Amino acid sequence: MMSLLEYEETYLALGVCVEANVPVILWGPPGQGKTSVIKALAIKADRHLEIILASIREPQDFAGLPSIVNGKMTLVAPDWAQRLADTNSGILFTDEVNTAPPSVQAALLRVCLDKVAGDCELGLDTSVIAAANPPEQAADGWDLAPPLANRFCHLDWSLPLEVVRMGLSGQWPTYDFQKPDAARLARELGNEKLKVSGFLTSRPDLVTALPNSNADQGRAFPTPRSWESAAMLSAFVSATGLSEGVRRLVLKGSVGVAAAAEFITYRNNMDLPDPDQVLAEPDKFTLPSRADQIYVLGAGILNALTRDISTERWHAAGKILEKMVESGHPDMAVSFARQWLKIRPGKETPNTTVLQALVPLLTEAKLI
Amino acid sequence: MSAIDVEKSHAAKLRIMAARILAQARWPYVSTLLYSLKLVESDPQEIPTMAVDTGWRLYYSPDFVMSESAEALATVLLHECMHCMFEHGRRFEALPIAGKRNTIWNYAGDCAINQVLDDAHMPWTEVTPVRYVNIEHQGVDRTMPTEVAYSVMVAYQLEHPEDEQDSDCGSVSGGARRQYELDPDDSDSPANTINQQDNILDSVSSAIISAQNDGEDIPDALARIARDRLEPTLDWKKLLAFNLRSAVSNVAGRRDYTYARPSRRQGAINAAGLKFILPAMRQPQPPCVAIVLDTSGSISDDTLDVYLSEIRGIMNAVGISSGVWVLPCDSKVHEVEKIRSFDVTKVRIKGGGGTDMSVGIHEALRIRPRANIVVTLTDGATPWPETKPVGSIIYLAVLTTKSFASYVPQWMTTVIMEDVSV
Repeated sequence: MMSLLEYEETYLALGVCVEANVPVILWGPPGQGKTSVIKALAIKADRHLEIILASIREPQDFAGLPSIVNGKMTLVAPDWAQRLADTNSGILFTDEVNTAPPSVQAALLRVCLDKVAGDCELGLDTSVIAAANPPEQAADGWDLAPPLANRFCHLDWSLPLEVVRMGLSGQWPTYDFQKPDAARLARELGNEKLKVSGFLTSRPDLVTALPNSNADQGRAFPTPRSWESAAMLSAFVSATGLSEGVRRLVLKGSVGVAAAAEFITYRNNMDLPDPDQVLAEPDKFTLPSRADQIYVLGAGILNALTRDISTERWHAAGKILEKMVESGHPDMAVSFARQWLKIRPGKETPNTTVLQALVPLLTEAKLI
Repeated sequence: MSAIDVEKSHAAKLRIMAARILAQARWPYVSTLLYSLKLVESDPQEIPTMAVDTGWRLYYSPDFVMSESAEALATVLLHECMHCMFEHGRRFEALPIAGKRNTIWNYAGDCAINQVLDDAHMPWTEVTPVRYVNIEHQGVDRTMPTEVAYSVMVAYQLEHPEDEQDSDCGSVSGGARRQYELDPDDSDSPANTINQQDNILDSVSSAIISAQNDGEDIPDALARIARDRLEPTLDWKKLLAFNLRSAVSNVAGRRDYTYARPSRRQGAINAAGLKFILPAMRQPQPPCVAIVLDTSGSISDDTLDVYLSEIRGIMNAVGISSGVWVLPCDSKVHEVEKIRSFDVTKVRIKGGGGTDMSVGIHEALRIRPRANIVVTLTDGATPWPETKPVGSIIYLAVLTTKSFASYVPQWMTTVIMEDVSV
């Protein structure tokens, strides 16, 4: 079960996907208020909503009914498609997609990707939402075919007790979602795409990583397309000032847990200064405030030093250790210093100031 | 503060930091988490030893710290780290039970954690740690997930209220905010936000996985936590049931559509003068399941029992009333017979020789009427058919040993049977 905070973040992540026009799929057991939430979202955004149960539909309900008119075959779209096409910026909600037969899922592909049903264009501003029961709960579940799964941002959905309690007492919680400023969004999107391409340059194996097991194929995995959605959604989160928790959800939902976790780590640490730069000018540099970031930076500096060692750079690293001590992390400094002392060039000795800072702890830990 | 207190406070801080250095050297992959813990000295009256709150601030009693060696304190620090990694707080909140008791939960969690530390032969403090030994008489078994151990302990304590087992490591392992906790926005030691914690746990998990890939010896529990976090997997029983069900419905085809043949209703459409083309339904066919059962010498009786109960499970999951074919096979196939769910235990198990499941699979293909689904239950130490046999048959391989999974041919769907415990 989710906590109230996780519920709020998932709710907002859903809102981001709908606004950013990235198809989104909600995974959760039945009876979790998915439809009500989507109705509330549609009313709030003042958009037309069509709800369709995919499991009782036939392929022609999505691909259009083949019909011969004047000797040519046309694909006649059903009425819901016509209604969405008329409003041009509606929301299409398809429930129970993974219990729909493969041929119906295949037909759904074109609706999600091109916003086209039969010969009827729904309009590119139409948002697509789907819902599915997790495989172990689906009465007669099919795997979500990988090509279809890859087009969606996947969000897990369940109702925490607090929400149910609030709902039963008459007030289902809703969360407000600000529309981003177009100029800001464009700027953030540019930034985000740079971050994604920077990350993928260092991890080319994560550009496309098809999952191994059948069950994972039905969920999020990295491909160039899902990275693009991830960049879009993350830019939306930045532009609307939503929390990092929401960003985490949309990234995991787009490219999968493992790839997203690595990207988030990269994203968090990319603001850190370049280790070689720090070693060149140790005096000009101030440590980050968070301990985990100081650690990552320290490890980076030691790596850079080991790769290319000189007396000057070694002493520069000593200065950074001193700064760690001053900022209240003498123990971390000692952890690094043990490796640092091992790689000292020649018979170089550390400055007395460094030693003074480190010796009491080394003694206490009985390391010298 | 008097001069003596200042001195003691300084000495305690030095020692706990020394402990952190030693802890980091033992498990370098938890470094970011370990150094993210903010050290806060507390009143020994309130905290006799150590505690961590939901914002990952570590409160310690200077008296306790000064009475222990840095080596022993390092073990305690790793203990607290594991409360964070195992997400005991979040899991406690998620328990769908009313009237939860966090001290019992903490006790169950402590036992699991200390087992990991004991397995790694870490030195302990003068204060004796809680262990499974203390609660085995309550019916707790060390393979139980903490959630299960907790419910066993709660049930026991309802009957034996005098035998109260509790411990408290602070709100990191669940329960309301403690009195001694700092404000979340404390200016000196602000709490780590949930999001920062998630990021740190992600990076610790990937450090653990890459250390393991580099051949380092990682405690199983940590490796499992890391993999669960970054490569979540479904429970194999659910996976098996799911795969079977979709295999069966694929074969039965009872709900899929095809334009390959005309619809039976097409005539009526044409007669009405309409120009629509309807799809046909795929014709259902009752599925025939064949199970190849590894009965070679490497399979213990216990494992065979598991296999047999899985066969029963398969038949329940699939709802095949007509029964399934079972082929006990070591290096050759023994008696092939058709069984129904209630007589699973009557399967005559012969074997005990070498292993070659490909023989069993080829034999399964000779069954008439033809099998649509062939399930192989094995430990995986077996040759497999080199090429996919002709025909649109669905193959499932159910393995008891994960390390053999990579040998299973691509055209088979693999499910790993795992012991489910944390």
